[in-house]
Amino acid sequence: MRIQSLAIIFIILILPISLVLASYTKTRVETISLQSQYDSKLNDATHDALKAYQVNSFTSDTSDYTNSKIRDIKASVNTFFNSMSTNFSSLGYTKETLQNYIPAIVYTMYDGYYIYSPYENIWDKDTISGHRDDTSYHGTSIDSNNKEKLYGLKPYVYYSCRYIKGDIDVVITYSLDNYIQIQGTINGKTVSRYGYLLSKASSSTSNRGVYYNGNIVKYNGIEIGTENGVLRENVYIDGNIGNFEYVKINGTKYYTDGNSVFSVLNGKPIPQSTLTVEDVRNNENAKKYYIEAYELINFIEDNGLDDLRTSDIVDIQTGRHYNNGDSLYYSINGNIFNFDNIESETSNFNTHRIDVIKNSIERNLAIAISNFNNYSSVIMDFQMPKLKDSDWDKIMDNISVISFFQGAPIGGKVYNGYSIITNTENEDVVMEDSIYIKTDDVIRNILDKNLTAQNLSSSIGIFNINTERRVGNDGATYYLPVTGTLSYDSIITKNGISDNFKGNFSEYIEQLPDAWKRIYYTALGRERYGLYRQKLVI
Amino acid sequence: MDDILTSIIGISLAAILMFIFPLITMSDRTDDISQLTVRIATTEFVDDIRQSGKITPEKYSSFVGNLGSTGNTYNIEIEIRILDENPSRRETNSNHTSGENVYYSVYNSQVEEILNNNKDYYLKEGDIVTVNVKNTNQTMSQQLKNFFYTVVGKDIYIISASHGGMITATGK
Repeated sequence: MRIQSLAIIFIILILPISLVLASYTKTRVETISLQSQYDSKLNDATHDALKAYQVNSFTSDTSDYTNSKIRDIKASVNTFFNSMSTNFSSLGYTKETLQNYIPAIVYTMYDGYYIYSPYENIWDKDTISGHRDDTSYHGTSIDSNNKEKLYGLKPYVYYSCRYIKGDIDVVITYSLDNYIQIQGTINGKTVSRYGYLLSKASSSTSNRGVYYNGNIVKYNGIEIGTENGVLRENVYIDGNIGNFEYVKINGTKYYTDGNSVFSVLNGKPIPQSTLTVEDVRNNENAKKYYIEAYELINFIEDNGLDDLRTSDIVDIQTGRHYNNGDSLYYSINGNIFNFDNIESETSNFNTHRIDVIKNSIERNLAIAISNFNNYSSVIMDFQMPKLKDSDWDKIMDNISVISFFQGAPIGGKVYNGYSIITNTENEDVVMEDSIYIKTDDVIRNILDKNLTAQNLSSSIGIFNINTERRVGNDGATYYLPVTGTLSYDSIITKNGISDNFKGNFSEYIEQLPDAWKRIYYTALGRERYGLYRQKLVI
Repeated sequence: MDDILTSIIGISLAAILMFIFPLITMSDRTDDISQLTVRIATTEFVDDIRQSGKITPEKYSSFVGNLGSTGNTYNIEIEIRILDENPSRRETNSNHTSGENVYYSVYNSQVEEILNNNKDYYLKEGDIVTVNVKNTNQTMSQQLKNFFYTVVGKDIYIISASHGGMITATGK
């Protein structure tokens, strides 16, 4: 055979191979690029949802209350679907179509979380007979809405865990920071306690922990006092922006103009008689925060709760102890409440807290997503993806939105993605980095390298979200609760962050001069104590 | 005489067909794969920055490492548009209308200066990050094609990726 014929045979062989290979790699590249486009769109939509939540909760005076939160979250879910359908409009996806691909959206809040997913609306014989005593249900029949498929928020789930040890049978609810609620019975007595957990100082001169002798409050060796007339804020009242002294108690801000005390609801002043002008001027929130923490430590120690271990965890419904190796929770050596250094990221308390939160979310979310198979018209096995450790870090960081998007065909495979967006600006939680320092007219991050060179006497710690723009009740007047220039070194950019900050907040604060520590601890305590918390007082 | 000439032409044609052609095809596929790798690496790098709000030296060097694993050299352009709220805050403050936000940009050199000191580059919610990647060397397929027909000028790249978006969480 001549060499030319060989060449032709060679071409006949190699040409189809190269063509197929080319088109295969091209499809792969397209699939991957489609996948990254979907990832971005999902991220964008989730961020839009979060932004809607931020904007709504900032402009509402009642955003702390549960029904108001549910309203804000529902609005946020709507924004998510609107944003998704806008992003995917070229594919003809509407909200109804998209709902078949979104098994769940999770809103992790301060001490629990909401899951948005479909459920069946049950209105059958059993349900009606269950309402026998309620006359308004009499005569209602099973209507056509029974077993209707509805999308909505499922009931709030707390990050909680039940412990039984001897006479102790309590449910402890954890949160994104060191706030806990203890409910249950101890020695047959019903208890309901709540507060922030801090380390306990061994003596009045100790440099670590909270100390209180009925008169003086110290935290990490720094005496915490009353703040007198230093907190002022702009607020919209009746079409004008006024600047008043205020105190925040249980989520509500009480203002004073020197003569009377009032709160503001929907742009109108509401006179308040329970507080005096002096109560507003002398802000004791910070002191109360540390006293509450001190009293909680005593309560835990007096009732033997400090002896609780992870082996005392029981099933929350049946109260049954877990067998060896059966427990859902990570075992920790030693007591959960060890007050030597409870603030440390690696303390038993924090390790266990994160474990409880993770377990709770993982369990309920996995159920919600696998149940989605019964609701979606998409033929696919919906499963919860495995969240990475870095994802959990984001979830533990602050309140967040987690969205899942599964089942959409993208060329060579089926898309299966999720997005976690952390909400770093919200009124629900005060994290360690939520405190800014305002000196004269400049607002700085606590990590600013020039912080300690500033004028101490005119410096005050503020909650970072008070620097955000607000809109008045008329919808047209914009104002800033706290005015001032944001530092170019530490807020606008973060190029001027102190070299002493090595990634650990409490270590950084501890090396600051005492006076700056005091400003920080006072502001942190004041803002945390001022937040709205559901309190069941017995 | 004619026979020898035909043989020579035949042999050289066959050589081109049997060696150069597969070589071009294979190196084209290699470029496709490189393109895929570069695109994935860039998207992951940018999305990670957007969600975490920071660029760490480790992440940046692993990104550069990922790109390098394709065997080509790349020009990485990072542009970060930093949201400056101060002008808008002044306006909001003085006349109770909403002021406009201003952005200013920082580029590779400013970012790398911080990263080279082994420090994290922090961003905040609202900043915008864009990363462009282009190959700077001539890949094998470019060289081979150049050999036959010169379509490739000096600055022409065939592997590129670009991704960007708004930062969704303030870094810490």
